[in-house]
Amino acid sequence: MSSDKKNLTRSSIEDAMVKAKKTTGTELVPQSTDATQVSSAKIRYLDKNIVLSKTTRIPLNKEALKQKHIFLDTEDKNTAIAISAYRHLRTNILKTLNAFGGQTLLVTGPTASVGKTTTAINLAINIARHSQRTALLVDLDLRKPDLHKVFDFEPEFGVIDIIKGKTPLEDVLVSPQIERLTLLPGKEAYEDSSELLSTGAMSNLLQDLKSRYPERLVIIDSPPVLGGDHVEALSASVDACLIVVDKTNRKHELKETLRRVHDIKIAGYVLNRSLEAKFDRYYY
Amino acid sequence: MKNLAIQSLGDSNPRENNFFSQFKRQWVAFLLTSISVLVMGGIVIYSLPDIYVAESKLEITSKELFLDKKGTANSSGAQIARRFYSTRDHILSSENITRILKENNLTDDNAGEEELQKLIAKFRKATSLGFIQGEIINPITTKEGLLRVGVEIKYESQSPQQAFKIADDLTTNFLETSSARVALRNNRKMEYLQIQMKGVAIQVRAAEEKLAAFKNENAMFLPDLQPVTMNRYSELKSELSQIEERLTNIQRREREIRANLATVSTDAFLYSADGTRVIGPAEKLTLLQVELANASAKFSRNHPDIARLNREIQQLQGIHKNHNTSDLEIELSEVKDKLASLKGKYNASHPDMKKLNSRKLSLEKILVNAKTEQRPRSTSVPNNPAYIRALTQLESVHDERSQVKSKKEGLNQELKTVNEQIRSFPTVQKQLVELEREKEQFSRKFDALEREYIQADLTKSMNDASLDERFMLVESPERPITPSKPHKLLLTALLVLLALSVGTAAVLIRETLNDRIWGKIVLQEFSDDPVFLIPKFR
Repeated sequence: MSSDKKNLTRSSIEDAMVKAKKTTGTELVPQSTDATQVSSAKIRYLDKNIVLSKTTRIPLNKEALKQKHIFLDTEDKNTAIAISAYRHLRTNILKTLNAFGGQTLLVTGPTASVGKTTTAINLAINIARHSQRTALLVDLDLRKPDLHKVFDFEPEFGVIDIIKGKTPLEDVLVSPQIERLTLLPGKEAYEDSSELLSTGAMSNLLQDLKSRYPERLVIIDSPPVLGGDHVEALSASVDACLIVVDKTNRKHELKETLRRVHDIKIAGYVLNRSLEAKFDRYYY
Repeated sequence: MKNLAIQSLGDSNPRENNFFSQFKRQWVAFLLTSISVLVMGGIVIYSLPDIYVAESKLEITSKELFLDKKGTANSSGAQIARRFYSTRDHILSSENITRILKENNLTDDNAGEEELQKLIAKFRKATSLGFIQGEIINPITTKEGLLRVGVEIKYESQSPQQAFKIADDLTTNFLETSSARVALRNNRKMEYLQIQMKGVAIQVRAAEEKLAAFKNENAMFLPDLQPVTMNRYSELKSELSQIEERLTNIQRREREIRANLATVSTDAFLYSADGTRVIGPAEKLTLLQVELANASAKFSRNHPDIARLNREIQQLQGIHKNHNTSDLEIELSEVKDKLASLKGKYNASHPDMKKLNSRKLSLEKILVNAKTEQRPRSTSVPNNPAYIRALTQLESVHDERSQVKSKKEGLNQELKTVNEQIRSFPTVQKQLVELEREKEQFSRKFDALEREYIQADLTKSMNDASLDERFMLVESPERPITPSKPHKLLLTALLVLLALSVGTAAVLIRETLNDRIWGKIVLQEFSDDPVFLIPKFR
């Protein structure tokens, strides 16, 4: 973060403003006159003519991600199998979404700790790195936001700040230095999260995310279905959902989950930590 | 959606919820359960004490056979089995077991009743005395006509020496008891046969006597004399027919003579010295009657001429009446003959018989009246030689007829007797056959009893080989070297099988009770949407 701050010097921002004025004829005005604020934040729209923006960049720690089962490069057979599995998932999800023009995918599961966040991140990375589409990974597990923890950074703002109108979207977006991948992290746990997710602001945010970049696939890391009514609150705003389960889940939990998400199109199921997949004989 | 289900790595593997996948999921439970069973079972099996078994084998050969419907010698083995079980009960009786226990120092006189009963029960449990291979082996030996049964005697103990000794004792005991029983049975059989023979001998004698008496009574009816009787019957028939023919001839002759007689006058014509024919009695009677009528007109009744005329007339009339009587007698005789001939055919109530009887009575009455009215025969006898000859012939025919008739009656009588004999042939023959059969049965029974008695007597005096039932020791008991029980290898194998089965059962139970989403197939039960498998990483 500190290196980023160094990069975003006042002079570079001013250079950008000059460049923008030259090309578009529009004067860019920093949101804050405070140089420190400007340096740590982004150049953002102040009026409709401003087109320039810049997201916060965070360093990429591949080793730490690997420890958390986020696989970027093929290193050994295990990582190869993992990446291969997620590529298959990516391909099928993209096909499914493309089939009906879906743009938002809710990644959820019956209970916590089944690997929703891991699945969402791996899926987003694979979509961003190995397809022509950009991916925005949104952490809407407001009660237990983990996205930033996985990427090992401390966000300045979170999704809640956007919903509450404290900060614009651009200030919250984070680039993990993976091409075509942007993160919209949470920040702090918010207990009354379902109420928040039901608000019109939330719907507007999602609508905004979808409409601003039509090519962008929005992947939402959501709370567990049985942990509250968060998913029902989001159901109207998403195009499809991916249900993640593992062998700790019981049949009745899955049944209840399906009952609750009956109005969302199911793009597929992910059986996480599967022994069947691990011993697959077709891998070579 | 299904066709888009290009599933991730594991999804392409067509694994289903079969036993192997269940086993793979539950292998820990399987191993734990199986090993637990193996360990516990192994402890039990290898802590069992070694049991030694000493055994002997015997063969019982019996002649107890019967002929079945097809005539094959057969046996149900029921009698031999009954005797065997009786012997076994004797050997395994409390007294006998107590004796064996004492002889083998397994108990002493000081042992309490309860302890003794326990030892006896234990002894019985350790003893096996039965037919080999179930009940009867090789039950029919038609070639030899014998029934063979295999018997085995076993005794099991933790001590090989004790097992051998007691098995040996039991074998000896069995052989001795069985042989003694056979001998006893033989003696009883002989006594029984003697009594039976006496009874049957009496019956044989009675039957013979009865047969002899019957033969005496029915000598003529016996089958041996039947041809003679039949010949006699034919002869009688023939004779009778000849008699009938002869009688017919006689009657014809009689009729001819009578006819002849009717045409001949009783008196010969009288001729005078000059050869002229003189008046005959009839004419004379007519003349006298005419003369009497004339004289009566002239004289009184007492007139000597009238008296003479009356006397002469009466004399002449007497001759005529005599002629009429002889005709009646002939007719009567004919009626009687006819009655006699019809008597055999019809009874007295038959109309012909009645008619003839009534005719006979009326003729007899007329004759009686005629005879009473008949005056003393006229001094004038027929003097016509032709008439006299005819009369003589008639009398001769009468004599001959009466002779033939009496002969005919005799023949009829004899024929009747012979007929009765012939009619009674089947009855007599049947009775004879029955009597002979009865006698034959008794004789046969006696012979069978006698044979059996002789055999039993021979058995008693000769060797055991001829006994009805004999016992052969096929395999004597030996001191066992290796324990027979428990069969540890077999039990171990069974234990392994049991352990595997229990382990499998544990797997199946756990799988049945498993409510978790353990695999792709569970998810597929809920939805047709694609399932992606992400492997577990460490």
